[in-house]
Amino acid sequence: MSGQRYIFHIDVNSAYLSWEAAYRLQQGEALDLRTVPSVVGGDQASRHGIVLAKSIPAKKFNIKTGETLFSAKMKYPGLLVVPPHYELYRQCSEAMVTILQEYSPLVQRFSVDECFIDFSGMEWVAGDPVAAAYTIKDRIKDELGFTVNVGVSVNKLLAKMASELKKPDKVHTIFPEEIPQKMWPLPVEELFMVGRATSKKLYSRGIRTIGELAKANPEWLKLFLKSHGLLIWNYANGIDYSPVQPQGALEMKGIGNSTTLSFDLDDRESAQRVLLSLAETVGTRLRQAGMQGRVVSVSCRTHEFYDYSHQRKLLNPTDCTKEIWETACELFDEMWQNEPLRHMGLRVTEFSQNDLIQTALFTKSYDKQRKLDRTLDAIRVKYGPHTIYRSSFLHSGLRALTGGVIENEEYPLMTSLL
Amino acid sequence: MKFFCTKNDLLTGVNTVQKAVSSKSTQPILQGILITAENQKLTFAATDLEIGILCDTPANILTEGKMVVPARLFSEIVRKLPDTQLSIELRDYTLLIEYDQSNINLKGYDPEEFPLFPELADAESFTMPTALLKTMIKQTVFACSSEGSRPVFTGTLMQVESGTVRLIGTDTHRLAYRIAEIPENPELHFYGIIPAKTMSEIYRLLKDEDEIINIRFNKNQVEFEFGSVRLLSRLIDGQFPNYKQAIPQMCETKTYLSVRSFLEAVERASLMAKDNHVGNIVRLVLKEDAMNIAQTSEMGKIQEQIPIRLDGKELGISFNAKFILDVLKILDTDEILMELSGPFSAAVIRPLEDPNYLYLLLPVRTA
Repeated sequence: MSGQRYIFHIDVNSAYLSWEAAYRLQQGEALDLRTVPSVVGGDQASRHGIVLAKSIPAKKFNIKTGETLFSAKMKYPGLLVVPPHYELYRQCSEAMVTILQEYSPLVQRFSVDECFIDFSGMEWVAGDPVAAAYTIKDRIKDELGFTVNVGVSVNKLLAKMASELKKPDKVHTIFPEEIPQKMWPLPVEELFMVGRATSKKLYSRGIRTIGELAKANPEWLKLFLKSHGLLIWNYANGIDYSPVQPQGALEMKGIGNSTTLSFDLDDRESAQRVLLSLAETVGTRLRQAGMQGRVVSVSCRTHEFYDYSHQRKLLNPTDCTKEIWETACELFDEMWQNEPLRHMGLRVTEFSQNDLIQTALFTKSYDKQRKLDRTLDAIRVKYGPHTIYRSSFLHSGLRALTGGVIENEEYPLMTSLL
Repeated sequence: MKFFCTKNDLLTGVNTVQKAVSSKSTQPILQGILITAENQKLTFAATDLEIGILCDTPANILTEGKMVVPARLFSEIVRKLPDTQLSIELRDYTLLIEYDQSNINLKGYDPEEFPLFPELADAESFTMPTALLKTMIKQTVFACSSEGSRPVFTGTLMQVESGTVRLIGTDTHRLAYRIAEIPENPELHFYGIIPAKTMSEIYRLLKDEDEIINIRFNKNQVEFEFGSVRLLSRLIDGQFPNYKQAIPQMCETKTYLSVRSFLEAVERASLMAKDNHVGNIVRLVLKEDAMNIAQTSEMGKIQEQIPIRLDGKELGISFNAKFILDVLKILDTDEILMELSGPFSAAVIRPLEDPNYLYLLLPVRTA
């Protein structure tokens, strides 16, 4: 079967902000956040004060995602800042995927607010691809109350580039014959996988547009960009063969969580509690995935923004919260020199499945702890994550479970894997 | 320094000390071999500071002296030399090797930089037959761990007490234990963890014609002397766990089976076993008069049955196939006794007519 390949890229316009706005309208609020300069921002008091998403009016004041709220307010003092609700965003994302799954069995969640679907062959069932793209866009708008851009093309790269064209609430196509006219005039940094560092190198060599990159000699690009040069040259020419990978097709390499602390930590006991709260969520996620890991690593960022990390390979793989935490504490003690910390992370890698366990001699038994883990998991699933927590967190001022949507590695935020 | 010798004399020396040459040291001198010409013999020495080997060979020495040669190049040269009388002379840190009408100039290092081999202080010693030690090493060293996360498991424990010597190796998933008598020294006491690398090296170097091996030890080091070889090794720091506690004293099931048929059945069954993260898992089902090993994979299935004698409860239990095969391959007996206590407890394998050896094997269980 060699039919035409059709790939859609669905991108939620100002995702967090749209979702927040839609939710607020639903709750009876009169103001639509999307119509005024507004941003979804982290909590400045706990030092998560950055712009997570911005409205289109806010964009006109040159407010950028990722900049600090302080500098955003300098650009427009009347800026409306609303706090994020990750659980809501996760639900919105779920709802969108549910709609998309009606149009193709192959739906890949690329991030919390972006999906690819493989529509190839589906035209027999769901009709003309472009018409279907409009239907999807309108259904999401009508049924879920937020707008999306849909890019339609023959591969993932072009579909993604198409959805990035004029926003919001649009369907765009970039079919191969449209590349010269729709994609090539764009500045080169608009191309997927061309970031700040790469675009700087390209600009200094006289390449300003995607078209100029497409016409460059790939061998010459390789001289200063290595294999990445070849990748972006292919992308500039609209060449990409990566398949739409439904959930789970991409092998998980590691599970980790990290957190920026609401105050600089300078005592060992609190640091160990933070590690415990990270270990709780990492352990839960490991067990949910049916995995166990062999390598535990701990990373720290000091108040002077200096980063370091240590890791250790365990004798036997584990999915036990307590064992992960104990290892993390050992690692922490080895590297911490009493400097104040603003950020801590915990990560488990080198996975194997946890269905078979090679029993061992002379090692501490975590059998009871593992039973406890499973019981806690079950309670948290049934009654909510915060219904039960370790009493060491009482009056500690620290959260008993740390890690949220932002740190979730199921949605790679920056990746060369389309 | 000047001496005459044959290619074989050099080859013996180089081959013996080769494994002690440091492969990744920051000190270039440790990548060399020290050659000393003294008292009508040549002494070859190499060390990586963990293990050191010295080996003597006879030579016709005209003037005494010493020299450090780069190990890899020198051994390549020696291997390719013709089988003829060699004349070797040292001139300004350069070794001049003359053979037939040809010669080689090889630059070396200053022998004064080469680390001295320590004399063991406060050492005690005992002797045992080399053949016995060789067997003991073969039966235990394979069970040691190759991963460094817990160093004590990368060595074999040597325990000398009450006129016996024991070797124990374990990687926590299995444990190999061998005991032998050394009746001459009932008072002697020693407890040290010898690196598995050292043990393998001794096994490699022990020759049947060296009848007796002399073992000297103190708290930190151990020295083995046999034939013309002296091997020194650091002991591994740390406390070896109480292995005696791990050996079950009772069991629910006893089964007697042929080593050969068990080995062949497991080898065949593991071809069909899924190679997953714990290794190749085989499931044994023990019945009154037969053991069944059944494996299924996407590619097909295999059904093995071997006759056994069984006392006690029937059971099914899973193991990493490698751990079974490793032990069956080193046993000299025809029949073994396997003792089991349910699917989650350690199994013990003993050669039927040899009370001096046992192998503990931990099962794989489902979560």
